[in-house]
Amino acid sequence: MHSEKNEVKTITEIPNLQSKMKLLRQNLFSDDISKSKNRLWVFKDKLSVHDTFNDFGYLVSIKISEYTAILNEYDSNVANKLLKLVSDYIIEYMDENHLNFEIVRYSEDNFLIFVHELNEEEVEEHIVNMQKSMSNYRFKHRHKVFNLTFYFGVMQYIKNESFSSVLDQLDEKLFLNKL
Amino acid sequence: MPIRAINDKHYKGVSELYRKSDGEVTGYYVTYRDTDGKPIKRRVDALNRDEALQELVSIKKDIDLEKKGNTVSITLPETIKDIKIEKPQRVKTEKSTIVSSGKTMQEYQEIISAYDGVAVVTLIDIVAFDDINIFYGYETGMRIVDTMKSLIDDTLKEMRVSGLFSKYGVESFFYELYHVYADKLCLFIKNDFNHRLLDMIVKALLSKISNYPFPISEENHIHINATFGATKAEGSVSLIYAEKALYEAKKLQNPYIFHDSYSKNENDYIVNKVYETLINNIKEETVLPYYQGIFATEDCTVPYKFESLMRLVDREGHVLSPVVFMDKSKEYRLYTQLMSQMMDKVFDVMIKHDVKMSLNLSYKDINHTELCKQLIRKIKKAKIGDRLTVEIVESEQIQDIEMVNELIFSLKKCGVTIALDDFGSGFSNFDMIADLDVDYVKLDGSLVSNIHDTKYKIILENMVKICKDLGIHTIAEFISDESIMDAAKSIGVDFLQGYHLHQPQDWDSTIKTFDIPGDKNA
Repeated sequence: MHSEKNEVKTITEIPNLQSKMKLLRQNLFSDDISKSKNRLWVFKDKLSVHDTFNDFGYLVSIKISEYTAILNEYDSNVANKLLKLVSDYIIEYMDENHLNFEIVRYSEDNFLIFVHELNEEEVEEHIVNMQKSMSNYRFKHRHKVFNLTFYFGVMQYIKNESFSSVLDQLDEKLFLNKL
Repeated sequence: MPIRAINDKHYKGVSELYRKSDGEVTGYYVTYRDTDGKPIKRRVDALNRDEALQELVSIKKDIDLEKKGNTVSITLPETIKDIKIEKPQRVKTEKSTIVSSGKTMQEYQEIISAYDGVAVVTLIDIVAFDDINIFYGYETGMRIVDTMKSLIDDTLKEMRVSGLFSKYGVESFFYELYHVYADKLCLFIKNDFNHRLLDMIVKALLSKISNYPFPISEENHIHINATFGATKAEGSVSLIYAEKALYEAKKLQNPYIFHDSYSKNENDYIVNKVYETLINNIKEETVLPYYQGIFATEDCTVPYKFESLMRLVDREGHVLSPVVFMDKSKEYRLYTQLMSQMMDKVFDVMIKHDVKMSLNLSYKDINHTELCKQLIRKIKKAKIGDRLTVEIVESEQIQDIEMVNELIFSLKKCGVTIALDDFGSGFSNFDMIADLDVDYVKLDGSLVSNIHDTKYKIILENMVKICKDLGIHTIAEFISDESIMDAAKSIGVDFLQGYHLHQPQDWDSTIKTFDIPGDKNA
């Protein structure tokens, strides 16, 4: 009788536990300053134990121009706020264009965007549009206004491909595309 | 109590000079424009505002007569002279200079950009300086500028004497202060200031300026406000960036904006590419219309009509969306040329294919008389009026309803129907559908995409009901999935548009998607 009661209690608690798990997972994989995902999410969710991709698509690497100079001139508070605003801008752009994507802040000012269901030409066109539209946009933090821009590289990735190899090639592209 | 403006329209141009505590008015100022169109303000003897108004009418009559060639003498306004101005004490040092005006902005830019070191440029704008000139005369205006210069100079010196700069590692402090334009001063600081120190300086100057009693007569003074726009750069610091900051500050009604210029070169590079794209598209006539289907709710397979959307193509062949070029094209005054090309291309499609189309027109377009004439001419020539809808976008900018209605009726005479875009967004507006003779309203996408939220659904439901009662058809845009589509249908929307039904495409692709019959003239 007693164990039956316990079983019923456990069953009714499942949805509650599930939602807590979801929240925990969300917190674990969220970037601490922006609405992007964090590095851990890449390694736990996107890659296999051998650090190879679990799926396929296009990987876009984005770096903010002159971020280090901005960080040195102002302080980390301003710089972090800008990273958040840039992340919000990217997410809004991608959502408005109904793109299937995941965004990660991989290192300080380096965002990785995993894009699905598009070909390379379409991905590049979207990122060029985003880059150009951002040049019109003013990022504002209190009474400071910033015209920010970024440079980027796009690489296709396939299942079981090495993440570090794709990232190396993307870094080369980033170096070539630096404004 | 000093000069009081009289708000009653009947007394326009008349203001009370002084009202004592017992209510007695001691005189009146009247404002008008002289024969050269210059604003004049003068004092007239009058016991009440009606007498002052009569004086003003008589002055204006004299001016009219003089304009017509009659020799009537006009008494120039009395300028307030011999006022003792309590100017702040000025401490002369070799390290600062106040430079007199007389140079162009370009010359100031050259001086500033020639400086080879880290520097800060701040533009200081006197708020409502035109009002000061109109109400108190140019002489007072100039005196205020001079006082302001001295005030800034002295405040900076006080800060230096107090040891504030050395506390932040600035041992030597060099600056120049220019009067660059009527209401604009430029503070050019030749130091590498930490942004926090600059904030402190601006705050101190703002406080000093707003608290300082600027004298306008022996007995009276006024308080004025200033807006600051600043930027900092290493070598060839740009006055333009300070202008941008000032523009932003005025737009945001913020007394101070600092415009960072670290990404200046990278940003300018991209902005130049956008400009180049605009010019190329105009020259090479490569404006590319995209089309998105608008579907009747009862049949979501074949579009009832298409909305034409402007796209440009860059040198690399990327198709650019309006978010990239629309604002820039308007800033560079190139938009109408793009729009003219767009009209031609959309009408070409309509001539060749028996389809209904919608063409977007902003208030700016409607304001452009030649563009509107061109539009009517082209509609008549192509004989496509009965298949065309003109969609008025950015309707919140509409100021002159009469002018918009004039165009609407001219279009309706050609058989064109009218749609109002983004209905329900921001301040747009039920009075708009009452004042403008529209056939369709497009419910704002941000409301539609939140239709699953009960509050939004109720708002949308009622908007649809009002439109139905007024005999206006409704279009729900931003239909991005099945559930939003079903919800929009459930509230009685007439037409649907969105990515879920059709993504914008060029015409060739659209023909293939919907199997549209080929060129009817071929």
